[in-house]
Amino acid sequence: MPILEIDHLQKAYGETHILHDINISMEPGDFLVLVGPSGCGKSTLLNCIAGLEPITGGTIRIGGGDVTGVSPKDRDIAMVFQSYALYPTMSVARNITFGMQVRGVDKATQAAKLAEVARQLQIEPLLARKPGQLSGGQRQRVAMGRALVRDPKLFLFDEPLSNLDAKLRVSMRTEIKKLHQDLNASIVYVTHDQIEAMTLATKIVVMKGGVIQQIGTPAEIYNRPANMFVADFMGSPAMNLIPAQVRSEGGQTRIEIAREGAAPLVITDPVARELPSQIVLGVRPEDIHEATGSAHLPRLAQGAGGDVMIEIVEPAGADTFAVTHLGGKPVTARLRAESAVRARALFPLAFDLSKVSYFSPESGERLN
Amino acid sequence: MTSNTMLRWGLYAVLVLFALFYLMPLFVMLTTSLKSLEEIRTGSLLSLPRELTFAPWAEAWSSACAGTQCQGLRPFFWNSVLMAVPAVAISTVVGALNGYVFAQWRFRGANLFFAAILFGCFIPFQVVLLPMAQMLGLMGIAGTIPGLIFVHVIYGIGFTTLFFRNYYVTIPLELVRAAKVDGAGFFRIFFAIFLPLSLPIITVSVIWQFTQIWNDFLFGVSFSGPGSQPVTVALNNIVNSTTGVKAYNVDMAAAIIAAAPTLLVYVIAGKYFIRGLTAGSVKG
Repeated sequence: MPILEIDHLQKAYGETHILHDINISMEPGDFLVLVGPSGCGKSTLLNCIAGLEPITGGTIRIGGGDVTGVSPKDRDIAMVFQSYALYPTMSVARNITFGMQVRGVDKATQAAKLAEVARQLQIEPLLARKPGQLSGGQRQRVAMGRALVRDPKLFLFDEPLSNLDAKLRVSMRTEIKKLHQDLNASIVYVTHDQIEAMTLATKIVVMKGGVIQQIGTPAEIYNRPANMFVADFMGSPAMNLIPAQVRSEGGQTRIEIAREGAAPLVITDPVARELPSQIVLGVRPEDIHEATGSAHLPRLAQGAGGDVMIEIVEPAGADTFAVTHLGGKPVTARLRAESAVRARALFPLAFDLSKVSYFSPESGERLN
Repeated sequence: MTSNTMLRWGLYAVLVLFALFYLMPLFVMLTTSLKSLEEIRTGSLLSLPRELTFAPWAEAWSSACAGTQCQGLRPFFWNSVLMAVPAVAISTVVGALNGYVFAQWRFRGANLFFAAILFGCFIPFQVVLLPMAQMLGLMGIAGTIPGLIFVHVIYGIGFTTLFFRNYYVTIPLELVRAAKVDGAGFFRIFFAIFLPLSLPIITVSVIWQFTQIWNDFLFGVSFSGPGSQPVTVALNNIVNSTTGVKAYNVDMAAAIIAAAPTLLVYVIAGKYFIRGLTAGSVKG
């Protein structure tokens, strides 16, 4: 039975539609990440799940029960907020036990649960302090403690790491992932950071303009993006989206990419495909390799004048990024760190055609 | 001496001058209240008393005559206390709840309601005298201390609501949301989270309301009966009841007694007043 089921959810403020026909199903133990640019409605959707925002249409079920009109306190959820929202006048211990106190849990149980969560999050020395006396990372832990102590059906995280500095964010990310594995908890997590989404999720929901673009595992989203928006949004550096022409010749699909000051590049897809004459070729930077001449990685410009002109080389430690221009767009290749690539020189590149995506330039939808 | 320090001294000189100017009446009141009538007649207004006497204070407190009654200010002072303390408390509590609703529990037409309450701050006292008198008569509390409390509460709510609303608007919305998810309801959130944060603005509200209510004369003179007159009305009656010689020393002592509570409140809580008034401008 799904732990969370959202069915044809609509949300509008007057005439302004914020969320359009949202359908999500989430299994117990899933780590579901809602990701998208700011203003895409992901936080609103989370607030709808929490019951903090009334919805205009559709239903929400948590643990099988319809909670559409139920108030937040009766949904058996716990939430971690972006600003942490710790109660400023209460000690850390009271912040964590406040919910149990409101619900009339007896003192002994409260103390036992508090001790357990404090140990789990290593915040025992902080229990007597006020939130104002804590650092950002410590506040984050307390906010998580407040959620964990409740042992709810569903955890909701609203951009919980966005107020932390870069280093702390990475370590907290790992901790959240570990917590998820240890507790086997069901978590809905909102973020605008696609790396956070990729590293944490078992299931990603990519949103834009209040519409779900794609739902899938991180691998599905990354390898087979449903449209150009998802392709561009997920992954860093972003997927290269190169306008190209298609010609079918003798059962083979030949793809031509325009170049400035040289003949078009022509590559041949060994698989025969039904493609329109104009497409956008999507290829991840790591799927562009240094051509070795092997059959698996044929040279990009077979018989068409050879190699491509490299414009910029960006060494990044583990990798070296090389930027060229194809089809009027800058194209980034992720090469080995020790690659001999030089800026303002020709260099042989090859696409791994087993991993490319084809998109329709008009609709942006995936074609293969 | 540079021109900068010259300027600074000039500034201080002006400030001291104005401070003296403002303190002068208080000085005259205080010295006059400690002089005998004989000395007031013969001496100068600004001179210090040659011989200290506290008799005028005793008379003002317990035996000065207002009309035919010669009980001093004492019974009226207690009338004022009985009126001001509940009126301040009730208007502050209601204002806090109103402000909490307007700031954190937005509802349809909230802006309209808030505008209407604000409008109440700007209605001149004189306009409501007659309808209010009728109202108090209908309610059966005309000429009583509860009647005066009612009037002052109604008049104060506009201001206290404004104070608390502007203060609570700066409290992040997520705090209420977190408490809702934790299971707390409307009053629980107010008492457990908002009230403990409210000391600065409660101080502002109390000082403001206490000063307004204690110093009020118009409502006091219009809506009180013989047994329920506040101290301001009694002071007026004492000063205006002359039997032969005008007892300036008693009048001055009575005026200081009548003004003392508001001064006291400000001295005790004044620093919170400034802090509370500016609290809304800084995001926490």
